[in-house]
Amino acid sequence: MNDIPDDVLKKAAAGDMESFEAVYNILSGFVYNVALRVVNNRQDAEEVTQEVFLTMSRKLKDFRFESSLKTWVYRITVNHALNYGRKASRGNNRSLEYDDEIQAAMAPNAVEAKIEKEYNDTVIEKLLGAVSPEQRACVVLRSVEGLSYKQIADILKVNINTVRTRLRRAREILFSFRKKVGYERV
Amino acid sequence: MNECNKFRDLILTDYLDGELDKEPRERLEAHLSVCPACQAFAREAKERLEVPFKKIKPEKVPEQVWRNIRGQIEAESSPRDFIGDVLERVFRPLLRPQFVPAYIVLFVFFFSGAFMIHDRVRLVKETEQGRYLMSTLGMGNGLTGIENANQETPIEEYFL
Repeated sequence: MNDIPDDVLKKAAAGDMESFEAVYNILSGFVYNVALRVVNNRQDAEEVTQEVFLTMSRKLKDFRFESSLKTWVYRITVNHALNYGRKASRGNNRSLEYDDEIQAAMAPNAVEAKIEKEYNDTVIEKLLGAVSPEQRACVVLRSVEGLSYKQIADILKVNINTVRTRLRRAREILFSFRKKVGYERV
Repeated sequence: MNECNKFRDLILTDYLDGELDKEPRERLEAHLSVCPACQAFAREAKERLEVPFKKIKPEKVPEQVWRNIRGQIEAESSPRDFIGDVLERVFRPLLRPQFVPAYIVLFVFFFSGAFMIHDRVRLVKETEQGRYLMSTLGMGNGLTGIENANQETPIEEYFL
């Protein structure tokens, strides 16, 4: 995340729309991509991004500028995304569909039809969908965002061993899942 | 095998993520050098669980997202909506089905009270009118004779 000058942040906190747009331009890519991986759905990721910035616009005036903006934004993003993720998890149990879906994605014609990025995205989407929203948040913050266990624990406000446990369980699922379907391409 | 499971737990977390301290890392690497199964597990874990996530390319945020955010912020900051929001926040909690019996009791209480007041006012007015008519017709003013003794109406004064 790029650093944002304090004066821009303060103006944005005071309600200056141009400054808030500047903040949005710096943070929106990272917020959207974290949300996208945690909710695992583009439409929900757009809504989460909107909610994150609306929350920021309301709460930025209360933000203590000596603390880490990065941690604060990560926390808002992950909390909103987890709420969406939990709703989606209650709505349907997608894990039953994964074997069929990933095997369809692996079919030779499907592989040939997609460029590597799209293919990787599809597989990542299926894999992340196989774990719980809480486990997914840990995987995204660690494996995609490259945060340390301590940073993840701070963002999620959980014990560092909880982060370890969630990561281990998620990876056991991902590992056995990929092995089960014999997925070797990515 | 039990020892291998412990090392594999570490491989899936701290080892893969570079969070392992020097001493446990050296112990794990010593084990890997003599255990081909765990060595294969570590290699596969890296290939299957780390590499695909590193290949993820960030996606561009759709343009309508900012338009929606801006519109929402502007709507929230307009005074009319601010008043509307405040009114809604105050009155919305009162609009609940469980409050209906209480509202009915309040309604009955209020209107029966209003009716009683109205009746009382009417009675007082009628009494005053009666007194006035009686006094104008020389039939006394509703007061006792003693009370009336020293009080003369303007008509009486005229005739006297």
